[in-house]
Amino acid sequence: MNTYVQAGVSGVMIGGLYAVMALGLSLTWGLLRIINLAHFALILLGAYVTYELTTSTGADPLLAALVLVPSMFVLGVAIQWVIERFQVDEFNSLLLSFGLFIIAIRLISNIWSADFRQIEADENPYASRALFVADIAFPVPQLMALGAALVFAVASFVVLRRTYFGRALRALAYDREMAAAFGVNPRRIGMLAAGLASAMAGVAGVLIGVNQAIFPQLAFEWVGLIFAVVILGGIGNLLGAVGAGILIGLVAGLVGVAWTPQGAPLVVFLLLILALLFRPNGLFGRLGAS
Amino acid sequence: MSQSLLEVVDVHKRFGGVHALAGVSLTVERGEVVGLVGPNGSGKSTLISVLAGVHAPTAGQVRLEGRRVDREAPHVRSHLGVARTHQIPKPFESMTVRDNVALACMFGRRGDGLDAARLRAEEYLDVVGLTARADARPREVNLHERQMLELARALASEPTLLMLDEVLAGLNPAELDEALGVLRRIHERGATIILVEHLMRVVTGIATRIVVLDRGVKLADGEPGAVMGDPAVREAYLGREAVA
Amino acid sequence: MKVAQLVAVLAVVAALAFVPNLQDATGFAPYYLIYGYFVFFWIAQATSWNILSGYTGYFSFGQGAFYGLGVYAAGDLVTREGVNYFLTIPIAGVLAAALGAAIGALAFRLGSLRGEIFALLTLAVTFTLASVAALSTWVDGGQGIALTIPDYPSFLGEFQDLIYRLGLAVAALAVVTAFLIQGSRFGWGLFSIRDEEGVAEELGVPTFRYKMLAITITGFLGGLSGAVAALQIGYLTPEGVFSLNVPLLVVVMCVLGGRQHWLGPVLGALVIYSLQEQLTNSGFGEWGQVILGGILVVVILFAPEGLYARLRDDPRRAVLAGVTLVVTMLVAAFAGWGIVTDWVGTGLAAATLVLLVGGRRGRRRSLEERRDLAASTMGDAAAP
Repeated sequence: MNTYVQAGVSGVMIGGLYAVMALGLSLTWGLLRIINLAHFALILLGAYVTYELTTSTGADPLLAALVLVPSMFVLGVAIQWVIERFQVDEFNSLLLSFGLFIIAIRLISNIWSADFRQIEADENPYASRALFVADIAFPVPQLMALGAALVFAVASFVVLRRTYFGRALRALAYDREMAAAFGVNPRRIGMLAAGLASAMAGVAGVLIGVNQAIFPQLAFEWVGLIFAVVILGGIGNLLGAVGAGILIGLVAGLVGVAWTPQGAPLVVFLLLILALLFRPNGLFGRLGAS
Repeated sequence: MSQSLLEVVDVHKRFGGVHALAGVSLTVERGEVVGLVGPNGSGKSTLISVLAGVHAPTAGQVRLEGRRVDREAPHVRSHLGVARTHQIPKPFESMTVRDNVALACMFGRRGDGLDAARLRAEEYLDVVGLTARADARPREVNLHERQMLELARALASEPTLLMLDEVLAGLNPAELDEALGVLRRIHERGATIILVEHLMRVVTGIATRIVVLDRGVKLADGEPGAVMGDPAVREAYLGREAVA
Repeated sequence: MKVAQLVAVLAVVAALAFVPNLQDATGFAPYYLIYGYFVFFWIAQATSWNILSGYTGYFSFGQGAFYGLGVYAAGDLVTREGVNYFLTIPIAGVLAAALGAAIGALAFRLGSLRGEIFALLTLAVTFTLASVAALSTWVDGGQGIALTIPDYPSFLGEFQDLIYRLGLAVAALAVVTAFLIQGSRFGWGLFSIRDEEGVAEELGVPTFRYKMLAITITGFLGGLSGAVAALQIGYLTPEGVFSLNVPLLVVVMCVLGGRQHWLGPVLGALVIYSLQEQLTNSGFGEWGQVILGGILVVVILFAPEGLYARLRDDPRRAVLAGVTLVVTMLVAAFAGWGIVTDWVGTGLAAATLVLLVGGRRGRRRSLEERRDLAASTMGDAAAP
């Protein structure tokens, strides 16, 4: 019984990590109608930069966020600028960012090789730490991921509802021309949103770097999983993405114990197929779908 | 058999909580030009979509020449003689103006082969006055021409029932007169027409009968003169339109 | 006109089929036949993808599912059930066609699955098949499957002759199918679905049946080609077979070549494969993907309509590209850069560059169009 509880708890926490990775993708897809595959490359890049900074300076890995968040923000803005400048439509944005994705993955493996990399245990103050409730372990890196997911979800919920930026963004998502007619500058809002999404990719990268070993092919493994999270959560629905991330983490964790860890992807993808067929707006509703 | 061309029996259509059509009944005889009017949101476009088969009615029946069609797919209804135009023209952007019309000849009631379809397309382009733009792409022609293309394409499927959804919106007076002439010619060729239109001048100028919808129910149905004089119609239609 | 084109295509196929017979006379290396096989393989896969995704506009990331099913159908039926390899090729086609029909029956029946949702559904199906292959002891057994070369009549020549001709046969079938569809009533129906599906249905196009037929043909061709590929690969593993290589490369090839004409995928496959091979042979293999990604970015930004449309719409540029191709090939030949395939690869790369660079036309919407667009958005919002 305890193995199931432990698997469930770990699943939920890893689900938090999925959620952090999914948030930026969901934001740009739902609100800007841009499917940004390069998001996965940015996360991977973030993880490698975290690894590199930590191993070369011995600093706390979380400090990498100080570098990554602003630089990723700028990268995100730059990509969005290109997309706006050339008026790339939703589908072509997928292809364009796919091109950037394969370029980035290849460059990363040219720089860091295709081998596994992991921050050494003595440089990673979080790796071996865990909280215990009864004899259920809560590893600190995973707890941080879950915490970040919840904080981001609540923060973006508040921003989308309460601030001018959030309302302008939602107005754009519902009806771009109308929003522009009411004085919303679609370019500026779009670039800001894309920058924030990429900044979240940076944070996700730090969390990945702290949590696990990294290698370039990892990004390909994320694609299916994180799309499942975004779609199940409802495209553009950030709270939904956190819910779906946790759900998928939980299901994958339990399947891993009850059946076999290799069975987890099968269950997740079957879940995704069912969701696409019967709830294309996600379990929690899609933004813009009334 | 003196079956009516179209019989709509107590048709309802709900979208979630919205009751877009709340029990509409309507009979259209061959050769009529029925003007379908009503304020925004009265259910005109929904009714056209239900008749074309885009939406299945939540309840009620639609009969075409006595045959129930309310569960048939749109392409089946097209083969039975129903055609419609869209409020916003939706041409096939990758095809020339001529090929847009030829496609309707190929898949419409006549089922022409490719070469025959291209030849026959000329005929319909001539009816709407688009012959000179036959080789242009839809994106290269102006809004009026796109509307006429929409019309030519609907005609090319050789409909017995032609439904025009605001096909004349946004035209200037000269274009309007020309378009009215086109509609009269189409009517003279034997088509039965249901015309959704905001402009009273168009409706009264060509319709043999007017049906008024308001909030999903039929408010009035009859001779243009009589309907336009109906106080209930004036209040529902003009009253709210004037405020808006 | 159409008949002439078809005759030309068949003549090219016949000439290509004869190439292995020249080996004794000219003594060229077997490498060229394997190179030829790969070109045919990619032409077949890209053309297969294009019938559904290019003609109909239902963008799929699931080509790997049809391909993978074809590969494993051949591999498993031969090694586990002792079925004759040549018999497994049509069986693989039928199985992949059935998979296509199943995906279509679900996705098209439920109506709302357009655009990116359809694309992701096909991706999810691919991932699911990959997971099944990795889990099932019958499909893979955890150790991979080794497919040995079957017995075949000796007049078919060496192994490379056989694989070359099998690849050519499937590619020819795919291209001729795409060609015939394009000029047919069915093809027109598919194009109208791509442009405005709702209107097509209202004008009498049986859209559901046509889409089903399109995805079934795509599956069939993808499966056939997969079964031939199984023989060429020899040793099958789930990671190798279901890698994202096939589904992603066919997209790049068709986007580059152009998706609205049967020649587009042929051009795209030829250029991309020769370029990749060129880079690998020059020791730049690890940069191959960077350049591939770069091509995709450049094409999307500057020539989203693809190479074929450029050739057709701009005769002067087409001539320039042709001249560039020939001159570059000649220069490469006289300078003695590598072997024939290197000359072709260099020439194709240069010609592609000429076609892609500059002359960006009609991408930015005119002010008038944007106003119309705005008006239509408002209209939609106003409609009940």
